[in-house]
Amino acid sequence: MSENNNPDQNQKKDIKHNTESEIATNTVILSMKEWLAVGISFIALIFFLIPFVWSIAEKISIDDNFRINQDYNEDYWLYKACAEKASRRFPVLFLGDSVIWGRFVQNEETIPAYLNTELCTNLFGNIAMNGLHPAAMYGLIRHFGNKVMGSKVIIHLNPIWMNSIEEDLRGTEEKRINQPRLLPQFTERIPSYQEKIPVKSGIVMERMIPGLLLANHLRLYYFDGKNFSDWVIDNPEKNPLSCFNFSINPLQKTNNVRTMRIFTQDWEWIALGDSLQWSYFQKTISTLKKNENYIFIYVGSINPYIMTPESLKKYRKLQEEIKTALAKNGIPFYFCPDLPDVMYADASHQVKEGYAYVAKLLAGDSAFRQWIK
Amino acid sequence: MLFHTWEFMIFFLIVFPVYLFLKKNNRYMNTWLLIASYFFYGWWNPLYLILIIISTLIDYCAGIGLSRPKARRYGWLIMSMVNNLFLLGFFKYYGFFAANFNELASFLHLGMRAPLFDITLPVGISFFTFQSMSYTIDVYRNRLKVETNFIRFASFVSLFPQLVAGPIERASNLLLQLEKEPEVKKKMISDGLSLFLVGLFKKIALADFMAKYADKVYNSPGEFSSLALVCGTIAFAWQIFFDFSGYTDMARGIAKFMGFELMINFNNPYTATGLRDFWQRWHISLSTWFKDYVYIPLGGSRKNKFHTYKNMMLTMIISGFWHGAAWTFLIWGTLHAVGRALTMELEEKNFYQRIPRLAKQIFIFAFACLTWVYFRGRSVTEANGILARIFRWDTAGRMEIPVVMFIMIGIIWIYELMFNSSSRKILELAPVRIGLALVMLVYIAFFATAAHNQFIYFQF
Repeated sequence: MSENNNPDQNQKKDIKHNTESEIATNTVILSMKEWLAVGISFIALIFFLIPFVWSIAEKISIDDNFRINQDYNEDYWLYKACAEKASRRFPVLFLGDSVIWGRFVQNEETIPAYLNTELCTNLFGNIAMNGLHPAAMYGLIRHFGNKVMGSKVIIHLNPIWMNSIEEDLRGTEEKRINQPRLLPQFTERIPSYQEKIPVKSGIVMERMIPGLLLANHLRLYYFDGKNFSDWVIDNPEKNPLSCFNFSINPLQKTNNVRTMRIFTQDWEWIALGDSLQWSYFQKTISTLKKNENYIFIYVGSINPYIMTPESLKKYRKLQEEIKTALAKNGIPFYFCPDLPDVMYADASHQVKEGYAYVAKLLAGDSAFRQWIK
Repeated sequence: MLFHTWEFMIFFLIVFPVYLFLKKNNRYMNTWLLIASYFFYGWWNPLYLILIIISTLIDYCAGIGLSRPKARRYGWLIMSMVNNLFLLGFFKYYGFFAANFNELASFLHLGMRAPLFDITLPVGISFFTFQSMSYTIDVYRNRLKVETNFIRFASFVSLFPQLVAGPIERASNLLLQLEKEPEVKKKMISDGLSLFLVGLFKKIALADFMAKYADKVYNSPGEFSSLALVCGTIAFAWQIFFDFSGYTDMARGIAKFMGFELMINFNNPYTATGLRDFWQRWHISLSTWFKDYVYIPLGGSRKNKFHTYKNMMLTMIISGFWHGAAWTFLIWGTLHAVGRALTMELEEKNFYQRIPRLAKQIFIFAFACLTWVYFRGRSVTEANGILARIFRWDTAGRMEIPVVMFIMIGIIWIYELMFNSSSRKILELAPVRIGLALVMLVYIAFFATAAHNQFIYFQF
């Protein structure tokens, strides 16, 4: 090995060798102008073209007793499409959590379904969602609810979300929150929601970019909730293209009936003025109003038989506060009374007889009848 | 901090504008690069910054010592090498040697035991110690002038784009670039973007995808059929290539943004037509490092054939051991050494030249896959078992071969073959390049996993 003793010369030789080499070992090396073309095309594709073509290609069918399958609870692309379909088909849309969605009962046993039976019409569409607490409902209407614009909307308030600091999302300890992707990510602080910034940023991007919302829909609806690579590994010999049948029916098939025991509860109940969930409920109403929706409020019933006397006392106080606040709002409402013990499935859900009874009570309410007209 | 995370994006969005502002003043530029690089490294574990600082300080002093007129040059060199090899040896290899010593002592009924510590391998230690050590050796050989500016030298050792997984840059390339004001032109930015996109696609769309199948097969190899074991090994072969070359592409892309040129580290290795060719295409910065600092000092090919073979084999075995402190890596290196020894002469023969190119490429890929079994296997026994089942061609067991993945591998292989042939002109057409970039972006947006897997080479 011959050694050159001049370090400067050796260094220059090495540099020359390096810069003479190719930029990459592939051909995807673009100039600035080409990058501009790629950038514009990419934005056009993921903001407009792909979502637009997909929304035309995908045919969603909605039945009389429609409610969205709970497996697609976080598929907001599908929710948006279904809400649009429902707003065209049903003159009145019922928005709320699992009480309206109909947990523990079948499609034809929900409050909206019983209302249709009760009034011998096909007026009421069920666009409720499992776990949709007021803060999430606000996010749903704000980000994905523009398709229900102009409709008549019955909005459900379930006081259960105000039974404790934790349910009110004001607990300082992190807890599992329903529908976290519907919560405000950066604009407002929710003490119980302590997600990492990258995750929050991803959620915000998904709301802003329709292509990303569609990507999540593909994952949840077509690939069994898995990302593409996991699906391919779990279904090694299947053709992923065969999953896309473009004719989808997101209707809930069957539902489990409640069999668990209900324990006595000593809920602390939050004062209305302090409640974060209540403030989000009010924001939801404002947003719906802004969207020119014609609103009716339905306040659900909480099982009084499972509460300790102290808890029940506080709950009664909260009920009064809600009544007063709603009366001030000028929006028609119906306050569901206590139901017979056997009609409750748990704290706030009813058994099918309970839902039928509630529908009957609601259908007989003069303010409600007036509002429907 | 991984390149394809929000953390890095925020980090770079802060570092880059300040860098552009400071780059006219060399001292400020290097100080800023050093702060950024130490922050980048400290993100994993700030304690391990001590190691990088020790390595930098000692090699800086060694360089200064070597430049003195009446210096004991050999002593300074030894000090630098002992320090770097001690850091590497203790953090990476101590556990391996101690465990093996204890097993041997137990076998021989000796009452001695080496203490075992729970040592976490510092990220990138194999890379920065080699990079730093190469500087001292080059100064010792008079191939490089000494760097007197400590900040600049420390920036060279720790420059964040290539700090944790290479490419292992030579001082003769990178240090010289740190001496002047880097030019950040439009071309550099667009090239950097191109490299970064390809690297990102390789990592999150391909490597992480292949990893899922390779992991599934290799986590319970006894349950799978021979065909599935072959497919799992092929998936791993592409996984490790996409993982490592993807990281390098991203590193080179980021360096380009900042006006720095880092060397190409992978040149489509699975299109190699011989083992010599393979090692000129695979982890080029490491291969050339071992050639320059191990093979040539051992004597290279200057003596007779026996010595050439011996030096080559020794270099390849050490190179295998560099990848990890386990017998599996030693065997991986040894297999390549034996393969290289067997084909060294053959590759020069007319007979070999007459074999169709594609046949040679398939043969080399098959050989590489065979050796990857040891690289990926959790133990030598397990790797032996996998190979035995492959050669017995056992049809019993799960198949579960993901057809879509192998279609993707096929497309990529055809692309690489076209890249190395006259058809490359088609791939160079603007609509094709733009189309490929768009496909990659759309694929990443729609299908790439949200979970960020670590890069394989971080553990080396």
